[in-house]
Amino acid sequence: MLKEDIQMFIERPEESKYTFNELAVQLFGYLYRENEAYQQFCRRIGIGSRQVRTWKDIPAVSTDAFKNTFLSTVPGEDCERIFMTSGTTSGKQGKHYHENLDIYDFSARNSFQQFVSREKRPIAILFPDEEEMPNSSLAHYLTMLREYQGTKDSRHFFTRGGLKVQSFIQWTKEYKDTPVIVLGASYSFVHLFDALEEIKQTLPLHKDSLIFDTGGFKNISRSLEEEEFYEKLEQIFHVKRENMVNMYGMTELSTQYYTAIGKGQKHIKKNPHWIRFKVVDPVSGEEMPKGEAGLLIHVDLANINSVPAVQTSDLAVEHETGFELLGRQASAEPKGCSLSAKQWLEEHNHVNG
Amino acid sequence: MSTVEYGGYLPPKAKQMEIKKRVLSFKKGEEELHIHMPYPAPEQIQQLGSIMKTSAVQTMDTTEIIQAVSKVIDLLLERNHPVRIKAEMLLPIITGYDAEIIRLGLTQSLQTFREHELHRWLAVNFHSLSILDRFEPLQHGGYTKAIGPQLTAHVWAGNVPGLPLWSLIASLLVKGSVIGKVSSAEPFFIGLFCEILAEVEPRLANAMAIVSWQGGDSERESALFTGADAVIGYGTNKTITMLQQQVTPPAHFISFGNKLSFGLVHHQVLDRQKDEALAKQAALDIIRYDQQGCFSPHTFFVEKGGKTSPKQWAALLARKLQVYEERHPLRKLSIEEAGERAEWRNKKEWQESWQLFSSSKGSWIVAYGKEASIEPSPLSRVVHVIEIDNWQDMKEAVRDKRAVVQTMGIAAPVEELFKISTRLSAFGITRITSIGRMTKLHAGWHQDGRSLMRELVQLVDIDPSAVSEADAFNSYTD
Repeated sequence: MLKEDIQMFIERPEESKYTFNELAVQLFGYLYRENEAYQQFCRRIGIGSRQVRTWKDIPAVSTDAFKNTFLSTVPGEDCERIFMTSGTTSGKQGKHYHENLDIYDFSARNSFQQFVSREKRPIAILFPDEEEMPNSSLAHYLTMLREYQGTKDSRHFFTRGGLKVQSFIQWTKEYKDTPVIVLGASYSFVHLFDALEEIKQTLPLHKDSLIFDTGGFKNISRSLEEEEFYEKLEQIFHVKRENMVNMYGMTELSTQYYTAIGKGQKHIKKNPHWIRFKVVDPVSGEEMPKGEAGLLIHVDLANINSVPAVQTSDLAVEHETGFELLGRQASAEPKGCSLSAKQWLEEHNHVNG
Repeated sequence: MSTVEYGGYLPPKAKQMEIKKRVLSFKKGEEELHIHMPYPAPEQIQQLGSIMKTSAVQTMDTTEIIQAVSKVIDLLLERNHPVRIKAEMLLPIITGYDAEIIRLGLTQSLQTFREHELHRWLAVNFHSLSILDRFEPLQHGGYTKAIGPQLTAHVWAGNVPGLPLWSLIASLLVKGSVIGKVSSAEPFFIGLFCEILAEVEPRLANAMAIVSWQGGDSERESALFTGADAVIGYGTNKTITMLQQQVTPPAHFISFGNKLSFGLVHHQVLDRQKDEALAKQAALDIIRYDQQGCFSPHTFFVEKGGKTSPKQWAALLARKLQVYEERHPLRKLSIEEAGERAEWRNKKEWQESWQLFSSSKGSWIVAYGKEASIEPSPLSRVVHVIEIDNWQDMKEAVRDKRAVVQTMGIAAPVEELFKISTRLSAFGITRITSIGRMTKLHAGWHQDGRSLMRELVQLVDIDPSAVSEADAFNSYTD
C-alpha cells in the first residue's frame, strides 16, 4: 500500500491522498517495524515510533552505518540488487540493499524527466554500463536512462579499458545535427578533455544538446574548478551553460538532486518533491538558519527498503530553492596539544600504508 | 564591536628593520578582534637571529633573571593590572574559551612561575642554583658549569594560553635569547608577557622576539632554524616531522608531540560520600580548555566493586558536565571540529557496546562502555567512561599507546596509588596526578618525562686534576 502511495506521490503529487510529511512519517513507521537494525538504533538514541511527528524528526542514519550494518527489511538473499559505495575514504564499502528496483527506477526516471529532459534522444554515456559495474548505483542509473530516455542510437563509451575516445568522436560527428544528450561522470569528461587536448579537436554538437555530469573527480582524474570545468565543456561541445546539468546522488539514497548550471550563479542543488533535506548543527543536531553551514541530512521517500533518512558528511548551506554544497567536511586542525581521534586515525592509516 | 591590537614582540635592536605585519582575525559572537603580528621576511629572521645571539641575558645572574620573570608574574597575577585585564578580555575572543575558564587557567598557569616555584624548577634540574653563573663544586671533586644555548627557536602550537611560557622561561633561565613563532590559534598572550618583561628588566629586552607566520612556511622556518642553537617544536606528529627535517646539526631539536591522557577511579573510592565530588573533579578536568591540553583526559577507567557502579559514576559525571554547560559553556567549534565530533557520535550510536549520555544541546557526551581500550576522543567535552574489573585490565589498553600517553589521573588509596603508578609507569605514562589536577601543571614537571632545561644546556666540567695541578702554578705556592 505504502509503496503505491509513494509511487502515486512521485508521479502525480497533486492527486495524492497524502502530503510528503505524512508519507515520510508512514515510511518511518514501516521501516522502524521492518528493519530491525534501524529500530534498534532508534531505540538506542531514545526515539520510539510515536516520537516522530514530522519528517524532520526522523532519526537519520550516517553513511558510515551502511558500511558495518545490515540495513534492509528483507534478508540479503532476497534482495535483487546491492549498490555499494566506492570506499574511497575508509577502504570499507557501504552497502545499500534493494529488494527490487521498481521505486528506484521510477524515482530516477521521474526526476530526470523533471530536471533534464522528457524527450527521447540519442544518448552517449561516458561511464561503464551496469554489466561491467553491477554494484554501482550510477552505472545502473545511467544504463536505465539509456533504456528509457534514449533512442536506439544510444551507446556507452567507457569500459574497463577506459574511455573509447575515437568511437565517441565518431558518434558525435554522426549526430552533430540532432539534439543529443551526453551523460557522464565528471572525471570521465576530464579524461576526454585530456584526450582531445592531445589531438587538438573539439566536438561540436547540435545547439539544443544537453550535457550532464555527476560525481566530482574522486581523485580519479585531476581536479578542476567548477567554472573551468563547465567552460571547457562549452568550448568542446559548443553547448550553452543553460543546457548543462549536474546531478548529486549518493549510493545510500534512491533519489537524485539536480543543478542547472548557469554562468556566474551559485550552483544550487534542487530536490524532486519526494526527497527533502535539512542542514543541521553538527553539535546540537538542531536545524541551522537558512544561509548557515551545517551537515546535510536527506529524507527520501524512495528509500523504501533501507532507512528513511540519511546523515551525510557533506557540508551545505540551505537556500530558498535548494542547497549549496560546500564539499566534504575537511579535517579540523587540532587546537591544542591533545591527540584527537581523527588525527590518531590518520596517522595510523598512514603508518599502515 | 571590532578591536585592533598589536601583538608579538620585537627587540629594540630590530627597530630599524621595518618588519611587516600580518593580521590575524578572531570572532566571538558580535566581537571581532584583529591582531597585527610581526611578520619578518626570511632574511629578516636570519638577521634577527644574528643580532640576538649576543644579548645581555648572558651576563645576568640566574637570580636576577628569576627576579625579573617573577616580577612580571606577580604583576599579571594582579587582577586589576591593565595588562591582566586586557588578557582576560581578549583571550576569550581569540580562543573561544569561556571567560571564567580563561581567568582561572591564567592564574593557575602564572602561579607556577612565581619566584619560589622557579627556584624549585631549577633545583629539580641542577644540583646548584648558581650552576649557570659559575663553576660549582661537585661532591666527588671538580667543578661544573651549565652553558645554555645562545639562541633558541620556538615553534608553538595550539590555543591553550600560557603554554608557551614553559619553553620561553626555561630558555631565558638558561640565559638564551628566544625567537618564538606563535600559533595562529593563540598568538597573543606570550607577546604581552615579553612586552612587560622587557619593561621590568631592560637587559632582557633584546633577548626576545615573538613573531608570526602561517605554519608550514618552510622558507621562514628554515631561516629561523639556521641561526638557532636549539629548536623547540610543538604540534602534531606531522608538524614535528616537518620541522625536524629543517633542523640541521649542530642545532639541537627538542619536540613535544600531541599526547593522550586518561584517569582511573579505584573501586575503594566509589562510595556515596566521595563519588560525586570525584565526578565533579573529573568534569573540571574535562571542561578546562575543553580537553585541548596534552594532559586532558580522554577516558576514565572505573573499577567495578565499589558502592557506586561504573555506570552510575558515568551518569554522575554526565550530571556534573550538565551543571557546567551553562556556567562554563563549550567553546564555539569550527564546522570541521563539530563535524568530526558528529561523525564520532554517529559511529558510537551504531555500536551496541557503547551507551551515550549527552546534553540535549550536544555540548558534552559521556560514552559508557566495557571494552578496556583507550582511544582518543574527538575532544571538546567528549569522554569515555570504561568499566573494568580491576586496574590491571588497563595495561592491555595502554600497551600499544606508549608513544602517545602522558598524564594519568588516579583516585585510589595511597598504597594502591604507588602500586598502580609503578606498574603503569612501565607503559609510557610520565605524569601521575589526582583527578581534578590533571590539567594543572606543577612547577618543575617533566613534560613527557623529559627535562627541558637539562636538555637545553651543555655541562662543562673542570676535572679535579686541573685544579690540583693549577695549584702548583700559583705565585704564593712554596
